[in-house]
Amino acid sequence: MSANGEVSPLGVYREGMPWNPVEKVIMERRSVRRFKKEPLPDNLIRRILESARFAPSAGNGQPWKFIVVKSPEIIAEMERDAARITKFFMFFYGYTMYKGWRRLVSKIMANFSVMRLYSNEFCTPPFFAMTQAAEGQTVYYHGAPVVIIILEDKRGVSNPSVDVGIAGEHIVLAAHSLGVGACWMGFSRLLTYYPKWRRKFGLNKYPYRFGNSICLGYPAYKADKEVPKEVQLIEWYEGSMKDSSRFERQGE
Amino acid sequence: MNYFTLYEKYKIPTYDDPGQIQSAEIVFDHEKCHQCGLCITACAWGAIVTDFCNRADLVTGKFKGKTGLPRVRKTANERVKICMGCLTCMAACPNGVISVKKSFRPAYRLNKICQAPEMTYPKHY
Repeated sequence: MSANGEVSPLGVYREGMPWNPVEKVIMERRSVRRFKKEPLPDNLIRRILESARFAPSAGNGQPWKFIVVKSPEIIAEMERDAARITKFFMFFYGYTMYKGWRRLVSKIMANFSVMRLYSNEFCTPPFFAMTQAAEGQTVYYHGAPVVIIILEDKRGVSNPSVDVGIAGEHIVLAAHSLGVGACWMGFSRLLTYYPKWRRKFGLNKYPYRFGNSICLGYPAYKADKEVPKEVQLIEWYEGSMKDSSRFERQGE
Repeated sequence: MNYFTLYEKYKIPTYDDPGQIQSAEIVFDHEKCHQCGLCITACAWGAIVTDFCNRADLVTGKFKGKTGLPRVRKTANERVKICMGCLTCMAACPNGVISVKKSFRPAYRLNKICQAPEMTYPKHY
């Protein structure tokens, strides 16, 4: 109970009320994709990590390991190597970059190997992002001064990937609330193809495996605004056991 | 609710066929645009380009000054726009140049099941 006798420190719900500070951070947080060169103070990074330390996890297992990379030299090399491995993959599989017979061969190769076997990694969004990076249209780490790599402990209770996601989202939201920009960077997974990076960060060393990574830094531009998103169809069960559910269009 | 048929479940959509990938459609109001390049920087895929520069040039600091009018890049066969409708560009734009017409919807096994195609702002329930 807070001092004024309410259950939440931010007050209670009234219908149609404006966002409270937590909701505001959630609604207006956008991924920041360009950072100032200025490094983050160490204590600010520690403060952000502190919210991850207190993230909920199944069975209080805390199945994670955080690695803070704040060396511009290492981040530049990560960028270079991620781009290199992207070019290698997309040379064979990036059929949307090609025309004619090359597209045909590449499409057959892609559909019968990576898209079927690694359907999550080669789903449309990562695929298009990687073709763009292979063509030199985009960069991965956005010139971030700090990259936090989250490793997942395979032995974790139940489903450790979920716990890693929760801890990561705590980092991202805490960062935004402190005026630091953040962007999830799953493409760090590309580094697991290099023995060099596997050894350096212990990316796939038992009991850990690569979870995700987050770029942090002071944002170079202001991107905090609400944006429209798809209306969600949400299933509601309200009546007795015999009644069927109804679908509600959330957000309309 | 639409569930997958066996065919849809195993069918990988062709990523550069507009019949199988409905890319998001964002519209630029070029009259209001100040050509600051923030939408290009904010784009998750580096898909917004101009005649003079792309996202890699801006983030690495190779290109400075007025960027030219933005447009969305297409795949090599010029049939599918490379845009997933995350609308980070819309949030980054200080002049309200960008608006959205369609959301991103791949077909077959990547079909979005619980998302309606309409897009709305967060609602104060």
